[in-house]
Amino acid sequence: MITIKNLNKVYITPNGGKITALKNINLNIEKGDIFGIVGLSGAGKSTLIRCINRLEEPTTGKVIIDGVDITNLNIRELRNARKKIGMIFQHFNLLNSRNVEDNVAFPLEIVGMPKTEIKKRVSKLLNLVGLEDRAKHYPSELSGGQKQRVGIARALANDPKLLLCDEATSALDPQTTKSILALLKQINKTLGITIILITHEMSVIKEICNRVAVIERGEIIEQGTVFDVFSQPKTLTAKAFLNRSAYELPDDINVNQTANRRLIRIFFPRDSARKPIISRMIRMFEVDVNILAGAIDKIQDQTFGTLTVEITGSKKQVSGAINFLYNENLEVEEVRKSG
Amino acid sequence: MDDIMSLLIPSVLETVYMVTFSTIIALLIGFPLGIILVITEKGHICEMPLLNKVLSTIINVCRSVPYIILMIVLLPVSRWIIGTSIGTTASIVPLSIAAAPFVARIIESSLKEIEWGKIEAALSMGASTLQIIFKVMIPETLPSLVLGITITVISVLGYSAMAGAIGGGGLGSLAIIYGYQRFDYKIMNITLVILIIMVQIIQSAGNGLAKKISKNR
Ligand SMILES: Nc1ncnc2c1ncn2[C@@H]1O[C@H](COP(=O)(O)OP(=O)(O)O)[C@@H](O)[C@H]1O
Ligand SMILES: [Mg+2]
Repeated sequence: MITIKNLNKVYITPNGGKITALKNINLNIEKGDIFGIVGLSGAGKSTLIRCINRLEEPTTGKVIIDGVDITNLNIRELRNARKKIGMIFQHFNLLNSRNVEDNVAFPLEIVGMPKTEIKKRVSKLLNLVGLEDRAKHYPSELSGGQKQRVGIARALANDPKLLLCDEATSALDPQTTKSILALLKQINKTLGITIILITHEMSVIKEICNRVAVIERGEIIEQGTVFDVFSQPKTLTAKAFLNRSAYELPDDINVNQTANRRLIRIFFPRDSARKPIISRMIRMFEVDVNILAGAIDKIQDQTFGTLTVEITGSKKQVSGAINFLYNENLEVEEVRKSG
Repeated sequence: MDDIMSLLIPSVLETVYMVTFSTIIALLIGFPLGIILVITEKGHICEMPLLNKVLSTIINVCRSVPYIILMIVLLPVSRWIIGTSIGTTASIVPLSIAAAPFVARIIESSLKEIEWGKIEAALSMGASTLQIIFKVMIPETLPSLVLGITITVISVLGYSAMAGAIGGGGLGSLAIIYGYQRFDYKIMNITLVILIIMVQIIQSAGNGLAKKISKNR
C-alpha cells in the first residue's frame, strides 16, 4: 500500500549548515499493517512520518501511497490526498477555540460537508472513541487520554485509509497509553485502516504493531515482523530497545577495556536465557564476574535475556572466557560507553 | 456649568467619532497586513520572503515617522479625499494611516502566539491557506487579538488628541485652545480627566471581552 523509495531529507540550518535527518530510507507497508518505527530521540522518526504526508518536504526520493507518488503532487492535489490521510500528534493539537464536537467537525468543514451531515458523522465518531458525553466540553476540560481520543476521532472524520501517529502516546501515562493503543488496534481491525506509528517506546511496538523498523541516525537499520526483529536483533540499537534496563549503566562505571578487565554485553537468544552459562564460565576459567546490568524479557512467550558484565582475571583467563561465550552461540559485544 | 457642558459634549462626541472611524479604517488596512506579515514568513503557510521583507520595511519606515509630522505631511491627502484639511473628518485620514502600521504589528504579534502544531494539524487535514487563517489562526488567538485592538483604540485616542494641534477638533482641540492659548486650566484639566476615564473604559471593555472569549479555553 505504501512504498517509500530512497527517501532522503537534508535540513539546511539558518547558518547554512546541513543536517542529514534521513538517509536512503526504503520501506514497504502493507494494507492493514500496524507498522511501528522505533528509535531514540533525534533518530529521524518524526521527520520520516512527516515526509509521508509532506508536512516535511523530502529532499529526494518517493513516497507512493496506493500507486500515487505523493512527492509529485501539486499543492491542490496534495491537499486532497491529505484528506484521506489522518494524523494524530503527541501534543494532540486540538483547537482550544472549539469544543469537542466542533474539533471533530473541523476536517469535515474543510471538505465542505453540509451541516446536518456533519452532525450525524460527528456523533458517530464520538461514539467510536467513547466520548459521546463530552461533546460540549472544551479541550481544557479534558484529560490527556480524552484529548487524544478527540484527536483520533478528528483524524478519522474523513474516512482515511491511512493513519499516521507521531508519538501519539508519549505524553500519556502507562494506563492511558494502553487504552489508546487498544483503541488504535480496534480501529485497525474494524475499519481496516493501515496505521504507521512512531515511538521511542518499545512497549508500544510490542503492544500493537505487527511490523517494525528500527531507525538510527536517519537510517533504517533493521526491519521485519516484530517477532523476528526482537527475537533475533542484529544491531545493538534493536537489542537496546528490546531490553533497555539491561543497557543502562551507572555513569560512574569505568568503561576502559584492558586485557585483564573486559566489560561486555551478552545477549541470550531464545531459550538459552535459562541455561547456567555464566556459572559454567566462572568455574571453567576461574574469572571474576561482576554483573552490572541485566534483564530477562518475553516476546510472545519466548524468553530473551541481556546481561552486562565485567570480567576480570589474567589475560588468558579473560579471553578464554569470552571465547567460551562465543562458542555457546551467544552474542557478545564490548561495552564502549554507557547507554 | 452649562457653558462648560456645551463645550465638552460636542468635543467628546467628536473624539468618539474620530477614534471610532479611524480605528475601523486602520483595522481594515492593518489587519490584512498583519496576516500577510505572518503567513509570508519563511516556513509559514504562504512563504514569500521577499514580500515579507518589503512589507516589513515599509511598516517600519511608517512607524518611525513621528505622528505630528505624519499629520502635516498628510494634510494634502486629507484635502484631496475629504475636501478640507481641518476638522474632525479631515483628521480621520492621518489618524487611520498612522495607526494602520501599528495595527499590522499588533495583529502580527497576536497571530504569532498560536502553537505551530495546530496549524500543522490543519495542514495535515488538507486545509487551505484561507481556511487556516479564518478557522484556526484568528479564532485561536482571538483573546489576544481583542487585547491588541484595545491597545490600538487607546493609541488612536491619544493621537486624536494630538490632531487637535492642527485643527482636528475633539477633546485635543479643546485642551489646546483653552489650556495653551487662553490659559484656562480648568477646561484643560476637565478634558484630561475625561480622556483618562475614556482610556479606563476602553481598557476594561477590552479586558472583559477578552476574558469572556477565553472563559472556556
Ligand atoms: N526543522 C528542522 N531543522 C533542522 N534540523 C531538524 C529539523 N527538524 C529536525 N531536525 C533534526 O533532524 C534530526 C531528526 O529529528 P526528528 O525527526 O525530530 O527525530 P525524532 O523524531 O526521532 O526524535 C535531528 O537531528 C533534528 O535535530
Ligand atoms: Mg519526534
